[in-house]
Formats: sequence, structure tokens, C-alpha cells
Amino acid sequence: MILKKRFAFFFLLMCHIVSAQNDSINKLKEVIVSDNNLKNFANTQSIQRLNDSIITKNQSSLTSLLNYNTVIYFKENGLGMTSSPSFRGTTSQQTVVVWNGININSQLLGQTDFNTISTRGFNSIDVKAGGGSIVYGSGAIGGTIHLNNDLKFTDTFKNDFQIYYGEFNTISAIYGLTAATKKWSFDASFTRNSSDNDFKFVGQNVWNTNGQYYNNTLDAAVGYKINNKNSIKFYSEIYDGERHFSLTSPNATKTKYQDYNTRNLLTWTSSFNKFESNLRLAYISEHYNYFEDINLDGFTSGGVKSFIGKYDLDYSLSSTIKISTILDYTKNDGLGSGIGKSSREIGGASILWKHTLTEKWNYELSARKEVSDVYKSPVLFSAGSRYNFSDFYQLKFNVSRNYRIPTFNDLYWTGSGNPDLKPESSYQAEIGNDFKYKDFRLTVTAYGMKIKDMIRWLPNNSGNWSPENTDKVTIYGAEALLGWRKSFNKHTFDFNGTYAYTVSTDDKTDKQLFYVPYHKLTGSISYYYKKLSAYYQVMFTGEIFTTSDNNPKDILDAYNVSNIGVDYNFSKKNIFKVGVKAANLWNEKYEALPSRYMPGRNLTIYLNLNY
Amino acid sequence: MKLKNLYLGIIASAFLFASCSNDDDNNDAPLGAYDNGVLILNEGNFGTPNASVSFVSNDLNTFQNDIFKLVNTPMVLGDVAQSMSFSNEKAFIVVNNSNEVEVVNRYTFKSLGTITEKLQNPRYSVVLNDKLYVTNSISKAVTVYDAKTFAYIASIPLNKTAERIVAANGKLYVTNAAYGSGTDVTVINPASNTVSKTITLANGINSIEEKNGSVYVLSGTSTKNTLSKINTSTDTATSFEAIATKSALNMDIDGDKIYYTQATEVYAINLTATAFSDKALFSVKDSSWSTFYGFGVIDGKIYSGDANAFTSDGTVTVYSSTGTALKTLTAGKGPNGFYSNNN
Repeated sequence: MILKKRFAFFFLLMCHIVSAQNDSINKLKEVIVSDNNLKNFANTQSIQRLNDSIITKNQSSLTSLLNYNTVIYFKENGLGMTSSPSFRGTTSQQTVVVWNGININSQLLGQTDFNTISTRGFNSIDVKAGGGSIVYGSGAIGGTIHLNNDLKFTDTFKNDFQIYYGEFNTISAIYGLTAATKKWSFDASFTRNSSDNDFKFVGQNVWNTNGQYYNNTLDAAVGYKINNKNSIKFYSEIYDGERHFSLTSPNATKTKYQDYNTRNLLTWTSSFNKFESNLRLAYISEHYNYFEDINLDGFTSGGVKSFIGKYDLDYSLSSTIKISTILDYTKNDGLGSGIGKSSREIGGASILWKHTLTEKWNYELSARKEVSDVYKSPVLFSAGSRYNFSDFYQLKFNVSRNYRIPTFNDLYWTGSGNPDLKPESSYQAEIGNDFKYKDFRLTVTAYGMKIKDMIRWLPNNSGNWSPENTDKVTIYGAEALLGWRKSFNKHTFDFNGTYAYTVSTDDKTDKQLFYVPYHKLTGSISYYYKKLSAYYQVMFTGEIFTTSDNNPKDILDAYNVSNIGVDYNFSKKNIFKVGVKAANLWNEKYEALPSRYMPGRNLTIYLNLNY
Repeated sequence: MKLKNLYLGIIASAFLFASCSNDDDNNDAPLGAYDNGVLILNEGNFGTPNASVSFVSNDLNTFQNDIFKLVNTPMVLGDVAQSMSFSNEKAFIVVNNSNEVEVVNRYTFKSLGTITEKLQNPRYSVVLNDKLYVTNSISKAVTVYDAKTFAYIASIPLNKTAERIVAANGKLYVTNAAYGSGTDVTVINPASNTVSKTITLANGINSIEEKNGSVYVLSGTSTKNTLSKINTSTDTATSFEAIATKSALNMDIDGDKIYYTQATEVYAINLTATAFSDKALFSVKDSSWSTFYGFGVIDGKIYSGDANAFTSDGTVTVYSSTGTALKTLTAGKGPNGFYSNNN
């Protein structure tokens, strides 16, 4: 392969490039964040922000971004195929993806497929560990992933174009336009990803077959400041993708899957006297087509259209006390093969209280109750406190109760759905320690949780599969997030690392849940010198059980995967970057799920323009 | 393989529970002879090529897992081994999701070849007059192969569900039912490879067996059980039903008795019976879900395969006719069938 020859050449070159520049660290001014609650009511939990420079460095899928930069473990059915998270030892459906403040987990599956989210259309992505059902609703047990289109109101006109071309005919391209005045702000982007994805399995004479995919994403955000006290924002996203599902045996029937998702959100923010209100109206739709055999015309399909209305009212009781209420209403209408025509309505009310006792000490309390025509929901609560002992050290504490409601498939699947399912619910507590010294940051969080009524599809004695509220799970663990930035002369080093130790056991068997590794570690080091930047990142995942009895013969081996990249900015004032990166540098043979091998070493060249 | 139909519904579960690796550290040497015993077919996890075959001797004292792999490494059996049929010394293993029929010598388990042509989610097979007939769920057809050369001969389109297949009185009987629904049995004339008749029976056909030239069909739904006996000379059926008992599954005929299961209970009635039994032979503890994922009766012994919800190796328990557990074995993933393998 031609790219491989260039690869060796580039390493030689790397040593000789001497003029470079620091990566542009995005310092936004006058930014309106898309999700106020994340800013206001999540001070007692751990939040990790991935900014646009990190987003740009990683592959464009949300799986890849989070896999290499966070403690979350991903169950990826091969590169680009269906992918779901395990955050803090929880299940795929216990992590919520929040788009500009709105929970976008599939109503059919209860989870987000992290390979159907393209990251480059977002300004920042926040990873919040721990419970968040009060604000983000069903599924926010392990944690929440926040996709943000933040709007800035400074005079700007920027075009951004990035193109990446890699082995296996993998193309990722994004064009974005940002235009803003002090009154108006506009941000839009179009992303296209595609790949033949026909890589050779490391150490085998077998190629990935039927793994090709493409997806297109259109993101747009518009903001208008009516006056000092009122502003309107509109966010929209359209995702259209098709994936063939790669084969695990050579003569298997080739299948493919199409996703079409739309998200629209209108918000009106208003402040008057001591009040601040935020009205949000969202309309989101999800739709899939599944082709059981790509040579046949027939397919099965399904979708859910959801309307969400949310009204937040914040009231500053005093300069130190803030009360907030959230009223929300959701209506989901589902239609499809298997679920027929079904709908449900959910109404909820939350109250949040934030009190700053002293400059050093605050606490937050919140509670939520919802009413639904389909299930009974528990009263949810969250309580937390933060104390700054010094500039060097602060302590956080949080305890909460969270839940996950049954999905449309769980409830309505013809012949299998179980209308009597209860929501899954959890109690959890965590203690966080933040250390900060100059450019060094360390967060160490220990947590524990109990989850009951876990919903699982099981074959029953009448020869059918049906979901049941079965398992109880006890989880405890610890996470460390490390950041360090050091500059001398014109050299800058930026180091980030995460580590998680996770024990997640089934109360009945006392065995570790399968597909939850005990250990996961990520690390990245970036180096900037003038206009040159380079990085190296590593992701280690410990051995993974694949059976409920933790049978040693079915363990997936631990894996250690590294990526490296280097780029040079040729422009004096703007960005004209040319770069190359090598994924899986050491050609590690690994699989995150059995027989779902991932690619060996592969190269990508890229060009980034920003004018 | 009951998962397939639900694939989309539980794609989520697939993420969670998908499969198990096949890198078994089983360093046992092949036994050389796998006769005078029972072959246990373990279908494996959907989407993962970890189907396997286990062997247990008739006296239950010799047991070995993963015999196909032990004998034929580096070949893998594939993804969802659905069923097996026999002809002389050959065994035909239908591997549903791999679109393959693996042919082995049933006594040594050495691979003799792999059939792939025209297979589209193959389900069950039978050999008649040296021809192998395979039902296919995607093409809704029966495909025909030479049982000696494995060459493809013909396809017989049914245009409706093609599931279980038996041969009786020189004809083929195919059930047009799956996942607990379906009423028909299609009769195929093998001389012309055409459908000669469709017999409509009670809804919920799940098992079909040939015995002494007659064909027995069990239907079980959540409201009633029906047993039908097809006279293969006239291809007409006589039936009896019971509304007190329901959801009968897993019919297997051994000697002069028809065995079947209901939830966690095992029943037996005589071949000549005209009514279902209201008294179970015995019942087993509902240790988990899918207790009778696999069921078979061989020489009076009752074999049950518990799939353990497909999250770990399956458990095979062998019972006496009175329900005494004679042996408990840890087999492969999802044990779904038991086949007598006497020389």
C-alpha cells in the first residue's frame, strides 16, 4: 500500500520540522451554552470536557472519540458497526446521549448507537459521570454524554473545511460555516463519512467483508438576541446513514441497516427581575430500515417521533440561593414492524435548589416525579455538596436515585413485549476529589451503586423471548482523570489520562457482569512547537468476560491500542494544516466483542482549513 | 434458533449479550470414534461462529465437548448450528446463520465437505433416496443436493415458511410454521420436486416426527394443544386436542411413546393415544430461562438442554423416565438437539 511507504518517510521528516505553532485552543467569548442545567446544576459531579481540538484529533465517530479519551468501554461490533457503551459498569441503555440538553437515546432500543453520531459538527462534548435522571430523564444512570452546539455572539465569519482520507477508502469530510454579530449567531456544518471498511484482520488471511458504510450529517444552530433579556435559538440536526453489517462467517447472508434521524429544538430564554426562564420545544424522530438480505427488496422498519416540551424557571431567592423548576411533557409515537402503532405520554416535574453557603461551600438538592400512562415511576432525587478546602483541593459529594424506563420494543414487541415491566432504578453515591496545582489537574472519584429491576430479554419456557425485570446489580469503582500542561520556550506538552477500575457484579451469582472490563486506561500526549503539532494516544482495555459465569475459556484478551499523528500549519494567520496519522500503530490484534476484529495499523492523511 | 425473528427487537440485547469467543483451551485429543453415544448440537450465539458438537456415550461415562473443532482444526463449525440429519455414515449439520451445511463422518467426525450453494438461512434437513433436502427460511424453499457428491440439484419453491422436514412413505413433509405460529404442512413429491398437497392443521405447529410410516405433528399455542397424525397414503390427518393443556413443545418419539414438554414438565403418551395426558412424567426445576431449549428422548433416557439464556455454556441434564437426574454435563453454547449415534 502506498500509504505505508509514506508512513515511514513521515517519521523521518518529523524530526526535521522545526517551525510550528501551538494548537489553537478555543477560548470562546460571549458563548451561549445550549444546556444551562449542565452549567448550573452539576457542580457536585465529575464533568470532563472534550473541546474542538480534541474532537478534531480523533476519528469522527463518537465511539472512537470517547474510547480514546474517557473511561467508557465500548462494545463495538467491528469498526463502524453498532456500538454501545458501558459507563461505570452499567448497561448500554444506562448511558444517555444528550443533544443540546435533550435526551436522544432511541425510544425503540433505549440506547444510542455511538457509531451513528458524527462528532465534528459539535463545538464541545461533555462527559458527565454518574446519575442525571432528574434533568436528563430515563437512562441517566452510568452517565451522560453532552453534544453541544454552543453559539457565540462576537463578530465572526469563518469557513472551516476538513478532509481526511485513509486506508480502506475511508473518507471523512466536513464543511462548516460560523457567522455571528453581536445580535445574530449562525453555525452550520455538513459532515460526510464513508468507508469500504474492507481491512485485513491482523494475523489472519481474512478480510472484513460487507462492512462498508456511509453517513451524512447536517447540523445547524441559529441564535438571535432579541434584547438584553430575551434570546431565541434554534438547533437542528439531520443524520442519514447506511451500514452493511460485516460478516462473521464467510457465506453468511449480507445484511444492511439504514438510520434516518432528525432533531429540532427551539429555545426561548428570557430573564426578568430575579427570574430566568427557558422554554424548549423539541421534535425528534428516529427511523430505521433493516434489510435481512441485501439482495432482496424486502426490509423491516420502525421509528418513533417524539415531541418534547420543557419549561425551566430559575428564581434567585437571594444572591446565594437559586431555585429552579422544570416542567416537561413528552409524547412518543412509534410505528413499525414488530411494535405496530403505539404511543406513550410522560409528564414530569422537577425542583432544584442550589445554595452557596460560603465562598467555599455549596450544596444542591433536587427531586423529580413523573407520571406516565404506561409505567409507574419512582420519585427521583439528587443531593450533592462541594467544598473548596483550598485552591489546591476541593471535595465533592453526590447521592442520587435514577431510573430507566422500558423501551418501545420491551413493551410492545408483538408476541414478546411485556407491558408489565417496571422501570429499572438505581441508588448511587460518589465522592470526588479535585486537585489542582498550576497546570496540573487530577480528579479522583469513587462511587458505588445498586441497580434493581434490570430489564433483560430472556428465552422463556414457552419457546419465546421476552423482556423481564430480573437482575440486581451492585457496582463500585474509582475513576481518575489527569491533565497536565507544560510549556517552556516555544515547546508545549499537554498530557491527559483517564483510568477506571470497575467492579460490577450480579447480586445472584456474585460474578462480574460480562462486557465490563475491570480496567480501562487512556492516555494522550500532545506536543506543540510553533506551527507543528504532534500527538500520541493510547487506550488499554483489560480482559473482558463474555459469559455470565465468567468462564476463563471465553475471556477476550486485554488490548492496548495506540495512535499517532502529526500536522503542520502552513498558514501565517489562519489554519492551513496538513497532517498524517497512524491508527493502531503497533498493529495490535484486538476485538471488543467476540469475532469482531478491529483493523490493524492504518494511515490517514488530512487537510484542515479555517479562514 | 428463535432469536432471528426478533433480531431487531433485541438488537440491544445483542450488544449486551452477544456471543462468546471460541478460543477454547480444550486440548483434549479426539476420541477417534464417536459411535454408540449421543451427539449434542450446541447452536452457539447468534452472530458469533461458536457453534459446536458435544459427544456423550450411551452409558453417559464418556463425554467430550467441541468435537468438530478437535477433529477438524482450523475449521470452525460456524454461526448457529440449527439441526442435523444422517445418511449412512454421514452427518449433515445445518449451520443456519453461516448459510452452510457441514458434512462429516458421523463416527469419526472428520469433515467430508461443506455445502453452500443456494443456502439462504437453512433450517432443517433430511435425506431421502440419497438426496439431501434442506429447508431455507429466507428463500422460503427446499433446496436439493446429492447426498454423496454434495452437488446442488434443484430448488423447490414453497413461497411460505419452510421449517422442519421429515421423510415418510417416499414423500417429504415440511412444516410451514415458525415461532409458534403456522398451520400448514406441505407435502413434496420427490420424483417431480413439486408440491403435491398442503395439509392444514391446528395453529402453532412446532414439531414433526415420522414413525412407522405415519407423520405426527404437534401444535401448541397459549390456548390449546393439538396432536395430528397424518396418514401418508392419503395425506389426510386425524387430530385430537386439549384446551386444558397448552403451549406443548418439543415432541420426540422414542419407542412407542410420544414425549413432549410443557413449561418445565415432561409428558409422555402412547403412539396410539387419543388424548393428551394431564399428568406429567416429572417436572424439572426452573433453574433459569430456556430450561428445555434442547429436548430429546433416546432409548428411554430424556435429554434436556438448558441454554442458560445464552449467556454461558449450556447445561445438559439426562433424566431417567421417572425424572431421576442421571447425569449433568456442561456442553457448548445453546444445546438445541440430541441425536443418537449408534453404529
